[in-house]
Amino acid sequence: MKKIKEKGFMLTETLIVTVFVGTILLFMFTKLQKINANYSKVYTYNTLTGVYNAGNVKNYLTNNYLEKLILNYRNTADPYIDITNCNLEYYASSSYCTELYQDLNIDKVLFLESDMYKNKWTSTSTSGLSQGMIDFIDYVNEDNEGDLYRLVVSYKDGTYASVRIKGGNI
Amino acid sequence: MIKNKKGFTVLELLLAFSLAMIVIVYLFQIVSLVQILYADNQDKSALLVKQNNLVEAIYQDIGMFEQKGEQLRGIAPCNGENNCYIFQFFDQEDKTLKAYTNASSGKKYIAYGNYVVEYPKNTTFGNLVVDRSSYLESDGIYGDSAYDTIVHISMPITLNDYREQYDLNIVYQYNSKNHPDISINV
Repeated sequence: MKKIKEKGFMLTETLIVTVFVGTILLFMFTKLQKINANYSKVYTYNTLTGVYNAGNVKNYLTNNYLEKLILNYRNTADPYIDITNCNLEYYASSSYCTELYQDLNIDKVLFLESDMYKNKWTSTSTSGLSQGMIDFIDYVNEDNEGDLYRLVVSYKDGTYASVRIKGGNI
Repeated sequence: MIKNKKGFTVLELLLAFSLAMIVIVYLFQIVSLVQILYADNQDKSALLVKQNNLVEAIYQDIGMFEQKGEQLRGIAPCNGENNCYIFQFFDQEDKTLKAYTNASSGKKYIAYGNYVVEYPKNTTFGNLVVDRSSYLESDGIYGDSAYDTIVHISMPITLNDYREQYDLNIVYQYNSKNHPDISINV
């Protein structure tokens, strides 16, 4: 009867177990990355201060040329209108607007549709926007059939906030 | 002679245990990290909720979304106290916003009216500042209801334990021609 040589068998077993456990660790690590990312979102997306500050911009726009902004948006093929530069087309006073943005610690303000995938957004729409802004816009996007718009604001402290604007009877 | 081949060699055992220990050490680090994240998250969340309540109370009182400017009558510094302002209203009692440190305990607080938020000892408060900017001579056209005055209430707050900023940043806008009775003393 032949004797079976059993040298090296234990090492194979150990390697198989190590690969198995390593796979589990990798799986847990990727899940932890997701948990960490979601944890960051809670502290950066739609903070209370951010939402109130975005509301301040909305109030100021409402007191100025919001109707013109909505009409221009409807008539343009652009997926968003960037109103960070205090354009006098939409603001009565660029100095007031600049001061307001500075006090609110604003980095960028965009005006766009609430359901951004409805009409204008394509794969090239996000050129010129930071990845953080793109992720946030994707986060606040909502399916709707109504005449709804959004102000999306990014702040210099890395937070983001958004407020809805109704098109109304414009 | 028949050799007994049951069992493991010492080298095989050592190798198996070494690999197992490496895996256990990494697992232990992950568990520790999750525990620390959880504890930090709990503390930060609780503090953020309290600060948010304070900020919301201020915005509700000054009539942020009312667009009337009728509720806030004025803001004035407290007599002889730093980091303290009195908010005066038409329709309710005055409230004080102040940031202070308890001399005996070293604990730090921000209070608005009766609502008090306690911060960790290792927190740094900057100066509580109320600023007013008026743009009465515009470079555009003001409507009757357009805002021409910005009131900015700000205070840097650094949570050194978490290396994060929880700054107070409140902005209030109104039309000074429609509301000449609002008095902001800075």
